[in-house]
Amino acid sequence: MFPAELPLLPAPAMLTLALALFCVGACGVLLRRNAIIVFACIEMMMNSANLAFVTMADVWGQAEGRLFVFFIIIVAAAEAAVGLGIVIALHRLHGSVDLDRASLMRG
Amino acid sequence: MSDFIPQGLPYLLQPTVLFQVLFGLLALGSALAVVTRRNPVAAVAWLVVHFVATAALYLLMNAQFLAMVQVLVYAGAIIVLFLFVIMLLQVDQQPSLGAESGAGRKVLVIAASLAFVGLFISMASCACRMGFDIPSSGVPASTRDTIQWLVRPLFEEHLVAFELSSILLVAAMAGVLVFTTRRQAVTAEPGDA
Repeated sequence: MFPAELPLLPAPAMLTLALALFCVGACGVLLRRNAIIVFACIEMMMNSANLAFVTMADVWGQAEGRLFVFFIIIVAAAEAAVGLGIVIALHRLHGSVDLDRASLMRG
Repeated sequence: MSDFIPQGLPYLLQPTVLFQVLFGLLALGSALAVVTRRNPVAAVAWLVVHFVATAALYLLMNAQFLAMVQVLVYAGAIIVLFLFVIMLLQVDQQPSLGAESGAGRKVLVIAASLAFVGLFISMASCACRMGFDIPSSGVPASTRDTIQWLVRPLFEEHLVAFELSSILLVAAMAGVLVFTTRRQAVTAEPGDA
């Protein structure tokens, strides 16, 4: 798409961006109580891992890095279906998607 | 295309670098919006922005196929699934960060945020120590933007993983059907109706 001579950001800058996105997503997973938003944050964390994969695939010149992004997207699709099914089951059990109320397995 | 770009621009004003910075900031800002929005529908709408910004970053890194898959699967299928569940369950207003809680939870929120800022700073300093003169591509762009570069290892070395992923998708679909179907429909006696 773009000619090779056009400059791009260096790889550590992209890795730092991926790290920042991962930290934001992890904060959301730990702090939010709405199960749906927690799920959205998990998707964001996977997405940041994808970004790091694409960056390092270009650094090493390995197609496998980009291939794993493809597989991660497949797994994310399956995981989203299962996770949102769990959210529906949780809502059926408690009448809400508040994760603080899902304490059935607390000892 | 390179004929249209004036020579002698500073590095940060080169079009590709400028767009990478812009879409990176957009991805980061929309990620923060996803975490902080109170309304789940608004959070999922910001998630669309996040995924599209990431797809634009892939496009700028000459990963056209992944950008397309990202838009189709993430911004298309997964977002529709999220919105479908939100509207099915009718969860409109949910407490946001630290809402309807005591001082203890607010302290927890601040402490966890600071911990992640610390983690980010420590790991970002590691990334900076790699040196920013690492070239962002080990192969020429003319090789990277061909689909053959991606597909040849997929169907030669990783064919088993590719086929197994189809089994994973079918298993996920069947599993969701099993544990979201109401049990009483299965256990009802035929004579009761």
